Amino acid sequence: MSFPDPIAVFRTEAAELLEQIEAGLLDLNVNLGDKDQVDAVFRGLHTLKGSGAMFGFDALAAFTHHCETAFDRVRKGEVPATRELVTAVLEAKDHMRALVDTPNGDHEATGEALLANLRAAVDGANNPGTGVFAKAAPGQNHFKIRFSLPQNAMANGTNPLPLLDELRELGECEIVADRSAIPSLELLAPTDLYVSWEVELLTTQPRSAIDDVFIFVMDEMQLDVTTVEPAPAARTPAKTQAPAAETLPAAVPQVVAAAPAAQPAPAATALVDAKQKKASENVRVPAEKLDELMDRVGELVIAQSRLSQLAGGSGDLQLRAVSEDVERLSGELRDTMMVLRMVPVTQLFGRFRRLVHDLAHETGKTIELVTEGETTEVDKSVIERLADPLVHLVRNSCDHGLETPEERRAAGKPEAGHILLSARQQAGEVIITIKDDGRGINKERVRAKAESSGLIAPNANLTDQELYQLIFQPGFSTAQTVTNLSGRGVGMDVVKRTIDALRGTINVTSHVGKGSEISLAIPLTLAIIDGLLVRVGDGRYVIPLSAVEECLELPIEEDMRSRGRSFISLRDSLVPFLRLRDLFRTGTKPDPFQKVVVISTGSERVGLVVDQIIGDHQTVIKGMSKLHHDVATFSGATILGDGDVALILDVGHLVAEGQQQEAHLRAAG
Amino acid sequence: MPASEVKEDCFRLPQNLTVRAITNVQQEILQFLDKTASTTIELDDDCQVDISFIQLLEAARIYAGTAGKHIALARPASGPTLDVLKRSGFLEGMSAEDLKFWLHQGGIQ
Amino acid sequence: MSASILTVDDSASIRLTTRVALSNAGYQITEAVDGLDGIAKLKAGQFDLIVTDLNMPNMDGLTMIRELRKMPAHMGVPVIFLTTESDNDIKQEAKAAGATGWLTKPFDPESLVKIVRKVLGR
Repeated sequence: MSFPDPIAVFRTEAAELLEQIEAGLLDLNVNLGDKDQVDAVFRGLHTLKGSGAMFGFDALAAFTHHCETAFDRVRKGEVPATRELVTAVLEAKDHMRALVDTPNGDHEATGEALLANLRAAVDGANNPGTGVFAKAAPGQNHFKIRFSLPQNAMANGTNPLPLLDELRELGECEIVADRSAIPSLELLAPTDLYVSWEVELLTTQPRSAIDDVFIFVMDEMQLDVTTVEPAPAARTPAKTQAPAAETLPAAVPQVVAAAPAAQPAPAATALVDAKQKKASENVRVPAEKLDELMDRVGELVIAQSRLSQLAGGSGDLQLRAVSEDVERLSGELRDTMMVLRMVPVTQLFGRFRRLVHDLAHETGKTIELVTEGETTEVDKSVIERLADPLVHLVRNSCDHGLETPEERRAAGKPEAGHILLSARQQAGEVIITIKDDGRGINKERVRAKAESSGLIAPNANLTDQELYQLIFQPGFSTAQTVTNLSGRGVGMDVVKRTIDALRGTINVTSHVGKGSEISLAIPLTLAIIDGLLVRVGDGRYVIPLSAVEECLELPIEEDMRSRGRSFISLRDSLVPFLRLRDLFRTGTKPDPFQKVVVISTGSERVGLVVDQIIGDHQTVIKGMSKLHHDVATFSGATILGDGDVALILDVGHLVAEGQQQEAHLRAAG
Repeated sequence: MPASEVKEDCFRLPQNLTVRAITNVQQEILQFLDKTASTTIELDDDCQVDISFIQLLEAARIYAGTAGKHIALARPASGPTLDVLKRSGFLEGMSAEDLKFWLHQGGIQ
Repeated sequence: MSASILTVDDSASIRLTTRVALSNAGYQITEAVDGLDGIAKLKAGQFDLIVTDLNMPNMDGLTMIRELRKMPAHMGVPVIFLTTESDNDIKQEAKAAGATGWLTKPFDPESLVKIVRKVLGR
């Protein structure tokens, strides 16, 4: 049994700590009086310093020490928390990450500059007369507490009354005794405690103050503290002022405001203390182990399908029974495995708070990021690959979508722009939406730009959706000025490529003056898909079942008639189709009973003519070798039950091909 | 040397009604309840009370209820008893029945 | 009526510190020099709270706490023990023996009074 490399473990831990620190700082930026967050940041820095020193990251430990000291002073009330200080430590945090990643790099100059910043921030804050801390409305915490003391608490000298008094001293407090556990007198052990309590507490004190009350009985008691989210009142003004904001879903959102440091903080903003999430029993497993397990499950699924083929071909009833059992079990195992690989998008979304904070800073805009559906779970490999496209999209929204405060005022909108980042599941897909209440996409400009760069013919007849999709073409940018952030036309085509690779689709809607919405629909999981196994010539191919709309007969006379014009009419609309036999140059004769499999990506459809539909097939996707990397028609390969290899068709590519064929024919005819 | 004395169905409780003495109080109340159909509990004005006593009287009410007996306080809770009722959160969310027992409020009888 | 406290410690200097701090805070103090002496004092009188060391000759603090918890006359009396380290094992053991709370040595008089007030509520 080998033990994991402690350095690697530390790096993982450090990454988590840095994220915690960042989250705390961002929360603090919104509510400078939030002592909980001051404590959280301090604790994070403290742990990072300690573990760093232990594992030989001396530069990290030394550097972190200064930030820790600064926050210790804030914690003790010697120095107020200011935006300058928060910004200084946020910048320092990035440096800490560098010190974790490349401990031997040349970081000294950067470090010194950051520390100078930090000192200036602390000194500035400490300067009497600034008094930010005194003026900042202290955030009140609203706690709901349920607790029961150990049964023998009274016998061992703990009197509950002083504890209840202490709770009352923390703030506004309502205490209700729950006496439902008191038995009848003859059954009562009179020195035992049967009463438990429910408490509602409004306090400026942090959660740790509650723990302090119970310090002596903490280990043996049951204490359940939940933070009650502040009333949604803070959002109401934004709603009434901004017509576009009304379309934001009302489901309890997390609101994070990011304002340029120079501007006054936005009025009271609802804040969710995500850190209060209940700690549950978790086992930490390295991601590679999960991948390994996934591979094994994949192999098992393949072996199982060979077994069912063998069993199906033999008359042995007992073998069939066993095979069916194995099939069921491996199916269940696969499902369990899938659940294991699912992680909530919380962490992914968490990054954007920092991004939006920085973007607001750089652009001088006031931007409020609202995230929804953070608990939506997605396969971890999907999450990893979604990060970059989302960064591009959010940047694009901040940079191009949202107007400057002046423009917004002139347009009668609230100065603060809103960006909604939401995730939800929908029938085997996760839908991630980036929505802003900015200026919307200027269709004329998109068209002009596309025409001038030759992407479309002048006056080409395009639907809005087709027009919007053009922004994902390589080299496309309508921004008139190139900024530091985006506008170089790099990015949006990367988004499209990545989403295609994930077998996902992009949908754009936009209203001029009201904002834009870009939805990404991505399959929940990548590694195993349900596919439709088809035969074309002598080869077998897998079509992802999620893309299949329907299967039709293609009678031979219809096939003959349609030669030269590759369309079939499907319920009053013409659908282009591709003869896979021709595409793959099989050189075989068409089967007399050909089938058309209609596949779609969002609104686009295309029919695939195949020789035979073999049936449903659960497929473990194997990547293709580098040699075949450029083959666009296939997204991967799989091993069939009999050991043969089948290629998996790339739906996005084939649909695009079909559409292109349609465009050619239209242009010709 | 019993700390309590019996006069008719009135039961006068000892001064110390804290966890330190509560085991004896339980025995005495049990014995008393078993002897009579209707018990009136009399509390000293400067008795010492803690949660164990409130708990005990609640248990006694349950016992009397199931045994078909009547139990009441001679006077509404006051002084130290009322103080503990308040501090321990018993006063919040009291039913009409509870209010009648502890504070003699509400009910006509 | 001020609360009465029994302090049990074999160190004369600690007993003195404790006595000064608690008397100044208005408590009545009785002293015992070890666990055995502590039990003797407990048999002779009533206390509202006990502050005891753990490491003592003749009878150590843990044993004294266990004995004390067997005495019905002292049912529920709070016991605060002094411990030199924030060692969790010792805390757990003392809690299991029936202790109510603890104070880490070295302590300043204010924190002693604070802990006593916290446990007694007065």
